[in-house]
Amino acid sequence: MRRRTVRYPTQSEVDFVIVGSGAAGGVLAKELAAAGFQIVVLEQGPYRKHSEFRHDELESWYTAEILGSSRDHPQTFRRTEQQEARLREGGLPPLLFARCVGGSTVLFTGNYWRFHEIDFNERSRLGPIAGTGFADWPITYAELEPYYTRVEWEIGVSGAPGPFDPPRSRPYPLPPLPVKSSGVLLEQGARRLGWKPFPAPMAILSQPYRGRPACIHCGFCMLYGCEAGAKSSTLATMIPRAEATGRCEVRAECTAYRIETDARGRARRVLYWDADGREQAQRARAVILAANGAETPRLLLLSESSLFPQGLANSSGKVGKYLMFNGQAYAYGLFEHPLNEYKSVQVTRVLHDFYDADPARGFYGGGGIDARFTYGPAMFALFGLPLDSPQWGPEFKRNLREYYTRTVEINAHTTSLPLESNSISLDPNVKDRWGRPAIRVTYKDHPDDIATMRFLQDRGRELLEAAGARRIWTVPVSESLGGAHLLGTCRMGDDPRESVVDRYHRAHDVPNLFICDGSSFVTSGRGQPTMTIQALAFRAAKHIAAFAARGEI
Amino acid sequence: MEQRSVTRREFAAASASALGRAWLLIHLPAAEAAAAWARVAAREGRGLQVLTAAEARTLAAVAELILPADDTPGARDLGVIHFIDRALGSFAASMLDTIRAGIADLEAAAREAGAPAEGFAALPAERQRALLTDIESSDFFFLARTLTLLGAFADPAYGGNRGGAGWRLIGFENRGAYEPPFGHYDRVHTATPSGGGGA
Repeated sequence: MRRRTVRYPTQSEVDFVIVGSGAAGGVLAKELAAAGFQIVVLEQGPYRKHSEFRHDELESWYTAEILGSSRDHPQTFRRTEQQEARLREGGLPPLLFARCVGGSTVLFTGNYWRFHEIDFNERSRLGPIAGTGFADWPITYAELEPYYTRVEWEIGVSGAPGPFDPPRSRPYPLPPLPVKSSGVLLEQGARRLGWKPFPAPMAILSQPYRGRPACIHCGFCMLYGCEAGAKSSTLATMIPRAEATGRCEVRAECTAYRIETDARGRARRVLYWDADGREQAQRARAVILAANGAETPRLLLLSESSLFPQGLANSSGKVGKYLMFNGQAYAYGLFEHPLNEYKSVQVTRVLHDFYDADPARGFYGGGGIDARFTYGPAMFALFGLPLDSPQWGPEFKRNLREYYTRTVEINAHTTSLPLESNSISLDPNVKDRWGRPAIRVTYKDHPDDIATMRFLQDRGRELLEAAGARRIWTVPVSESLGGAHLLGTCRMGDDPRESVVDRYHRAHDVPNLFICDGSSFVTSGRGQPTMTIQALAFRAAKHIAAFAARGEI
Repeated sequence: MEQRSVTRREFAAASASALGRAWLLIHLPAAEAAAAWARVAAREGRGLQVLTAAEARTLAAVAELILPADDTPGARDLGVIHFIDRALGSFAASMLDTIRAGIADLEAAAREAGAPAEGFAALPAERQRALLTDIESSDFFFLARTLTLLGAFADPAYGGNRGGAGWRLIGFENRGAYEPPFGHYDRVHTATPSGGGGA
């Protein structure tokens, strides 16, 4: 049951319009509403209830309703700027993000490690990398630490400190989730290799917390909404609290298509299509974009005007540039006894032994490793067996029966170097259902990114061997097909010529426009960016509220 | 047809992960069509809606070769053909031409191989396997396998996986909620005195 919330007329000026209700938008809405401001949140997707979420593999993976159909929301893809971007003939779009209240936090796995200190100052530590936009962040881990802590306590993160963790000011609010067989095997294998495994920090409740129930271990996390409400999405946490202030209105199925500025170049209105497809315009004192690393730059580019001919907030030309996905590499193992990895949360133990870059390897990069299983029964039947095993017939069937409960996947999450040539831009030919230019993705992994994936895939093999796998297999590392981590496309920095927002997420070019989501990242971290997106959002909210209170917006 | 081949090649080359492979799998159906189709599947009986009886006979034989019955149920026992028939009438409609053409080609090959009037389905299993092996890399086979396995292991509400028997076959309990221990290794771990620490 939805609580009744405030409704603002579009023609009256609210304090903030926030575009996007996901990881960052949800936090900003709650924090600013709680600070006394009037907020309108525009979310292009529907407002789902937890009771609507089902364990329907076909729906989640193959009809991918929440991810958006390729007909309504086409995306084109190319490797390099010299190529013509194309629509894919089949399958999921290159960029995976959820269109619903709560955004991709509704569908995510919930891996919630903090970035390490080096993620913010690696350029100074290692020196430049030619041909890349490798740079320090304008903020440090120490500056962000209080906000990481706020994320953990506000939304509910389960975990225990690990041997490589950066300093923390407060323990986790909840103990780790129960270890799975994959976690036990990772731990055993890693110890034999002299590595230091630790419990995975997860944005899933191990115990009841702030009125929400603990995880029921159903096993349907990645690409599924949590029907228990135990996954700490913004749908389950920030959004209801924002609405409960009585000052935040969430408008679902409202697609922002333009930010209008006045003659002085200040953001004045956000134009959007409402649930009935009608054009609307919401006036606001300030605008916050938190629409994700793809939709945010697209909206800025679509908001070009005579004052902002390259797109809004884009005097630097960096809007949409430096897209980073995080690389991934996999190794698979078959064990003697059933693990039943389809049960419970996806990840219970992780490794950060190879997190730091090591110049001795001859390439830049690092990553985290976990043990998991991402298959429902249909997915496993289609893709789960080693490629050299029969793919149909009696032996195929016997293998399905043996492997389904006994397989584990070692998954590495790696750095992606910021390259100016990897980008989100407007497709010159393909239009979406509204007639807007489609998102065009240009992406080619840096050779060091590929080398890092290979390096960690080899560590995955070693780990499986040490854990006693009966059979180990891998699929060759390949260039990224797309990503769910949409990072870097409105990067943060002190120099307005080289970045889109300043260290407080204010657009260099537009004083009352703030941008806070994955697009703010300067470097990619080693996967699992949502925790950091939310820490940035808590920090941004504090500064934005202070600016507003001092009349500095 | 040609575009589908490109997809399949891309699929074979870019299969680094489950996600990567799912990524390139099939045409995204319209969400509303899929929902309508699920309702139809729930409401209707077992009658064919898209395929002719002869086409269904051939395709059911192909599905049975992909997932054969042994001491456990196969594609036929799981009602896979009903899933496929409904899929081809809704979310997989774009595959129908390829499937139809593939069935026709397979029947032509069966006639050449001296099949009786009932065609491919009436051939001895050994002969059927040989003919299917010949076309293992065709678009038709790719789609037939995809639909067969979706039909065997997707939610029974979609018309296949009869009574959840596909799930039982591979050890998926479908209880919707579980308690630890979940598997052998965490059971052993938590049972030993040194285990269990750190939750």
